Amino acid sequence: MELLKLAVAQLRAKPFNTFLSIVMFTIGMSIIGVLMHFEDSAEKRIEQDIAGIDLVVGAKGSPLQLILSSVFHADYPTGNLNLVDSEKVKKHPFVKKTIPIALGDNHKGYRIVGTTKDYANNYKAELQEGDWNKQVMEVVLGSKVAAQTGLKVGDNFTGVHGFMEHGHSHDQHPYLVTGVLKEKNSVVDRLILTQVESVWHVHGQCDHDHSGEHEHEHGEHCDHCAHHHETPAIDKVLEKVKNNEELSAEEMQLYNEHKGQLSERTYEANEQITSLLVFFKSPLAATTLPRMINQNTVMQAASPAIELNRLMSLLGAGFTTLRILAWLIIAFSAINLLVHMLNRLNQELYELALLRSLGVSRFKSLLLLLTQGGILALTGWGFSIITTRLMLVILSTLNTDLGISLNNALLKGEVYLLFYALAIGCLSALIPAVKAYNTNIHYLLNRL
Amino acid sequence: MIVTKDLKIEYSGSKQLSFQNLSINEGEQWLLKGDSGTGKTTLLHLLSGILTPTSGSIKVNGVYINELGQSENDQFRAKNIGLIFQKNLFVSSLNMLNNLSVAQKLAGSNVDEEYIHHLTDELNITKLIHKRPHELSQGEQQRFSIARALVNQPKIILADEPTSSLDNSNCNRFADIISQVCTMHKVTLLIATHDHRLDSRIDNLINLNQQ
Repeated sequence: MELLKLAVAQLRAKPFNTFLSIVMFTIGMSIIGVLMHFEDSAEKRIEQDIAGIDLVVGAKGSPLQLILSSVFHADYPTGNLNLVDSEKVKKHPFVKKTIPIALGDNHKGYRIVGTTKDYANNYKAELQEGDWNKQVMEVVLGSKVAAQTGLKVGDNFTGVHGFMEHGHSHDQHPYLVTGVLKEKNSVVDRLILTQVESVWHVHGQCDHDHSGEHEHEHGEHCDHCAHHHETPAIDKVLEKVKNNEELSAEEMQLYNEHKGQLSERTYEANEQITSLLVFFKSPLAATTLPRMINQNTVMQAASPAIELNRLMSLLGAGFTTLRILAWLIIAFSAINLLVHMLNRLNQELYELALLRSLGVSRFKSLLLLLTQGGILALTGWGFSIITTRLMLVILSTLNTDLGISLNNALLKGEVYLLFYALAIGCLSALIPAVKAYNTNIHYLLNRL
Repeated sequence: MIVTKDLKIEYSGSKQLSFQNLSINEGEQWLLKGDSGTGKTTLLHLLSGILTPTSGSIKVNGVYINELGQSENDQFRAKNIGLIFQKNLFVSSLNMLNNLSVAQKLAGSNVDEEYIHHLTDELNITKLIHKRPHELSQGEQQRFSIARALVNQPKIILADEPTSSLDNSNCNRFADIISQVCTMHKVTLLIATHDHRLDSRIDNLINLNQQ
């Protein structure tokens, strides 16, 4: 105890050096701390957004894109699936349940997602106010959507085609807000949930690939609008066919297109969805089902966990660089501490001789210096915990899209960091401490 | 109080110093004289357990300190021996009161502020106890050195060239004070010095030159 007091007194006697040592430790450990919180927050967020989805089935294309578009709603979809194909997946014995996702439009940048109630349930979404969407064209808003757009229960709004804020507006098909969801810090906060049928309704019966055509300009017509204009023409063609009249090349093409549509409609109309979220019944499915889908169907299956791992390993390089930088700073702070303590020991060598003559054993004089190293590192760690939280508060208010959840609890990594800090503090104090231990006080006092 | 027998110490590998047998009784005051290199400081460090003899025995206050281990020696010294150095050494980060109390704490005893004040009153330095070492004059520091040597109520005070940096008046004052307090507290005193100004004041003499 006395040793501790003495250590503190000696540190306080050189406030500038002590301050410098602590600041160095604080900077290094704060960077590591912020990185840890970022990673922790990202991991939690991703885990929450994946929400147990084992597999995503969608149109062929980039698997990562499929995951990003259908799970995180951060990328454009790969294409569409025929409902009839997805039904096969749904009926597979390994599959526990599936949730359809139908994308196509947005409102002020927030995606309108055609899905079922299962989707909301899977994210444990709860109503803040209003009621769930029961009818076609009714929607519930994610908390962030409601906050940013100002839409309330009972309001009407129209979707814009694609995923950009501006584009072709489906003015003739307004949605009705029936409910607003509670904030859950998950992807649902940013979504507008409706029934799959609403998306079909807005886009008429046209089967074109909505998702691929996000770049619709103002004034450009959606295919289904063209269909409307065509109707009289196709009626005329059908009339001609009935009467066995001759068709022009143009009419022939129209007729063939129409026939093609009809034949598709005999399955399940031409109803399409963007993707299907799949939950496995048994872990066995993870090995067989994706391969089966990828090899034998026009669809592709991607696992969120695998694709995310791939993505994180790419991002990981950036994190690693920053972390190396932070450890370098810590290493410098350790060297700074070493030099500082050696200098002080040299200046105060006689003080050490005095303390030894007053009954401080060699081992205790070693401990005295180790304690000082430990105190400096510990204080640096303490400050870094505070500055990390300050930085997170600032970052999260500057950029709400980062989605940093303010986690003020001590992370496991920060506890480990404490032990690292203590070890580094003591290690850098070790050389001066051993020097103190080996000091020959007879020789020193003789030289007075 | 101090009895030595056939003390020998080797140092720097080959060099050897041997000392005459000492026998100093409780409460006596002695001068240890000798030219440079005759081993005055070495003898004091042997008696205080800072150095361990190569051969021979040292009995201090009934304990053979040459048989003690390093840390036992440190504790024994802290409790039983007060040291006064040629220069005044203090912990610069502590004020004078704490410099005195830390000596008590390092000796493993409780802080006895009453005794500290009693000592500083005797030495007329009570009003200085809240100052830092560097704020004091040589003479004032010297008196604090005496106070610290006494603070654990030791049986023995060993002083190494305590007057070498003092002018005549300070030297006289020091000599007065140290013999006074040692008599008062029944402390055995041994001063290693080549300062002739002390010759007349202390009767008992060990001369290391006569070997």
